[in-house]
Amino acid sequence: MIKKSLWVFHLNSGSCNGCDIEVLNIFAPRNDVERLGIKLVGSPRHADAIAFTGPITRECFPKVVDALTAVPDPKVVLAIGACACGGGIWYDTYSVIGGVKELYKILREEYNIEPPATVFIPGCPPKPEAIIYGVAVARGMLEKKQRKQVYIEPEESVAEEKARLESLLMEAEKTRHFIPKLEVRRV
Amino acid sequence: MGRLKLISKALSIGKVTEKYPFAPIEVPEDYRGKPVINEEKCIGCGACANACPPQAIQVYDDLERGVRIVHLFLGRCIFCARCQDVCPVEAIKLTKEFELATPNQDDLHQIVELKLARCSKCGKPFDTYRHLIHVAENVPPWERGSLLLCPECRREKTSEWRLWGCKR
Repeated sequence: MIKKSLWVFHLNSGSCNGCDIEVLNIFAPRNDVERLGIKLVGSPRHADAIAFTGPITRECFPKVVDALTAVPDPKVVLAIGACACGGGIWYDTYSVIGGVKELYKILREEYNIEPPATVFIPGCPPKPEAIIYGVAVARGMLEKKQRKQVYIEPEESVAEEKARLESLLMEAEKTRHFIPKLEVRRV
Repeated sequence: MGRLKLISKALSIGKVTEKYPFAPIEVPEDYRGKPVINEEKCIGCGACANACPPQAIQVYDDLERGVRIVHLFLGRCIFCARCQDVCPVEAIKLTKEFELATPNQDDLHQIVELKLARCSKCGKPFDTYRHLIHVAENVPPWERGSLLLCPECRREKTSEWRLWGCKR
């Protein structure tokens, strides 16, 4: 999406601070990401990317929209943590919008803003290395590994299970005389 | 003089920065990463959906197609491993995989569809074949009598049995 150095604005939209601490961790000496040209900036006007944490509470929703529109194009949103990816444990709470996907729906319908490219980084909180991996995916350095998996039970295994269940029930038919009789008490 | 001492200390410690995106990294022994459902083992009992705090795993029936759908959405998962604890057949396991970042949210879904058995009395699909086999294997043979009945029909049959004794 963006090949050059990313300048990141850290936007907390009602997060519990777990993801924020992990975001700060990647700037510490152990996972020093300034070697990749990534830098935290203080204003969204200077940024290329937004490190987005939290499930977007109703109170901070207008501020989030302001910050998103202030970032110049082309921009990338790094949705960090379970809350930003899909709402987390607050996905259906009344006071919360519930993840960037819902936010983009509102942006499209009410503000007529086309949502920016997004990299989803699930985890609660994600490991610092997972965030670095997400940044690498956003910059096109690495390929994504995650794929959608759909399994539909094949006909053969259904037939096998039917036969197995029938044999088990036949066993029950042979031993049906073991059923204890209930005494009917006349009143 | 203080600065020179600092240099000698820094030289003695050496490099601490990991080469992560260019070289693989090892995770701790009991790290809880991406949960994966083993499709061959899963019986569709719904214990994981019952235990999941953020409802990242949802189990629901599609009666028109006659399938039970086990739907795992990783974007909401908090990696607590409760599903792994409660699974009776050890079908869901947390791996050490942590590189889950993706530009497309649809990649974070895992869907397992299992065929439902039909009630022998009213013909309504009610439970997966695998779950019925699991139950039948764990009860004595003489208690498998009303296994192929849906809950409503079974309730009817039991109440009749209670009223009229062993009459069928």
